[in-house]
Amino acid sequence: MRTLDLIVLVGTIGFIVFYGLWKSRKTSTVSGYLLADRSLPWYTVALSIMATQASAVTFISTTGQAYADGMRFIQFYFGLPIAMIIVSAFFAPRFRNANVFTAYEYLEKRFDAKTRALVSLIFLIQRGLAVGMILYAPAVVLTVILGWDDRTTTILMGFIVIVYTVLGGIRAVAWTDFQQMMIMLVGLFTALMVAILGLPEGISFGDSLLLAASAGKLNAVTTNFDWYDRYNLFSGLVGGTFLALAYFGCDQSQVQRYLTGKDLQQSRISLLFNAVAKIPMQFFILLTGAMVFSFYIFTVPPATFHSENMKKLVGTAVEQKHKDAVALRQTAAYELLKNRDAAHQAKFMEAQKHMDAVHKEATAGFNDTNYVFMTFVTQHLPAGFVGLVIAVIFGAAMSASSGEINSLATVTMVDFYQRFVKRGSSDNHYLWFSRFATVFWGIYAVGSAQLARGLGSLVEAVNMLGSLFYGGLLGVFLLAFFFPRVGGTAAFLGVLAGEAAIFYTHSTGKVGFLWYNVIGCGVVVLTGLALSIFWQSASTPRPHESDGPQLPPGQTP
Amino acid sequence: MLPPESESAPFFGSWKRIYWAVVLYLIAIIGALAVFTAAFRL
Repeated sequence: MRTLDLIVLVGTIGFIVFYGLWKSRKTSTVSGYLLADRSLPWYTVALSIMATQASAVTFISTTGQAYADGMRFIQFYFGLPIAMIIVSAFFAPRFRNANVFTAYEYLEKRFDAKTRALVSLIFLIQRGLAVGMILYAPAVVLTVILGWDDRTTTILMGFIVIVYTVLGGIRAVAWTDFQQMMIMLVGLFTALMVAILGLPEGISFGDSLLLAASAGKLNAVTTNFDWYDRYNLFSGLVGGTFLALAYFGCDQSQVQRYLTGKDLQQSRISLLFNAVAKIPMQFFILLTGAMVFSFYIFTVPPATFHSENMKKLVGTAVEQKHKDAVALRQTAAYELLKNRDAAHQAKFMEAQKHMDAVHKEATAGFNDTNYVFMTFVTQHLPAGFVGLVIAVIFGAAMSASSGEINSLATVTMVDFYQRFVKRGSSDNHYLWFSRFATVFWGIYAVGSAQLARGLGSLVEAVNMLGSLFYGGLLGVFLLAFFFPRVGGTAAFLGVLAGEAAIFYTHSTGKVGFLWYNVIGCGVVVLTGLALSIFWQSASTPRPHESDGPQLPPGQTP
Repeated sequence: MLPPESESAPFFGSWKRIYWAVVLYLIAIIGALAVFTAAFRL
């Protein structure tokens, strides 16, 4: 790594962390530590929401995905604006008016303590398993591309995250998220510009779009329906809505973000900003990947982007085959740009298919998608910008993991320690326990990141993990908000039934993971309703209101 | 428990209208992406 890149990397990360700590220097209460005294402006909350969602995987993997599979991944986000409207209209006002610290605290006010404890536990298991992977994901790539030791990388990142999350609480997390998101956008814009400006003379941006589209990389909307195909218009709109609704409506790492807003209006604007900005941002990231694809039509790409595997291919027949395929595709590209007709487009597609087959042979089944973007960055970006993009990767991993650690600590403190272990203690005591819980989850994240080494595809693992639990969480909140006659025990059993249904569906291997959320949520709601009807028929119905506390803790139908 | 917070919309007069604007925006953006997908078929 060049000196200038190192200076930019250390300077950027250092600035972000110190800025976050400076903005949070007056934190001295539990409310300040966990909810920033509900004082943040909408733009900080909005960018914090986006930064928490955008882990390093988003930048490393999404660009690579566009390179390999095209832009159809954008459909994954089509349901997000719909979910944001529902969260803004129904979830945010209920959480804010109930004056809760966590989403699960609301469940005790609406149902009972056991439902709150069960859902909190599900959250801790799910996010506890994911946080190590989030921290580890960029280390895998940085190890291969830059030769850094993955253990040192995760420990270093984990240490920085623990320091500012423990000292500054959510205020530091939110303000560092804000800075990290800004840096991410600058880094991505730079990469996109380099991919476009790096095209040979006479090849315009429009030409590169035509080539990317001809190879099937600009397939932003696909309408073919298949239950196992996770990225099409239908799975994006339906499955994506449920996933986003579960994530933004029931996952404490996001709920806590919009609870920090100055008032309901600020919280809602931050959510709706996300609704409007998310798809263009993902388009921008995916377009960068597609442009990297066009760039590599004219600049010879490695036979495999995994540098260690590439070393084994040097001088082999496969490497020569790859070079021939690249030359063939380049000729077909020039012919297509010269003639611009369907026949030459078909010829180019043919050359691309041949190229894909040779690439498959070269990688020997290993998926090198995650290494595409960082290879491009380190080999083709000018000095200083490489440091900036690595700062983006670091920043993304840190913002996502700090958000998770902060929310895990909050749930541990509010939903378990304060509720079941030590009630009625002083604010100072809870503040110190919150700090202790943050240190615990931080060390846990670093430790579990070491175990994530053997898990293979981390992107798949993180996404799959979320979908195994989100359906159950979403279902119980829908019961809480929209079915006032459903009581605690029915909701509790509904969650268990929903989770059982999700795990059974997963075991069949016949349905794409985006649908798990729909199935799990549906089973929770139907079970909750069926059980409440059964109980009501056996006893006198008791009317509830749909909002706020109706049943004292522990009371069930 | 705190009293319910004010729900005044910052623009368009009501939150309902803002939500409809977001829905229209989503439809427009999906339409634009569909055009983008089809635009380079020769």
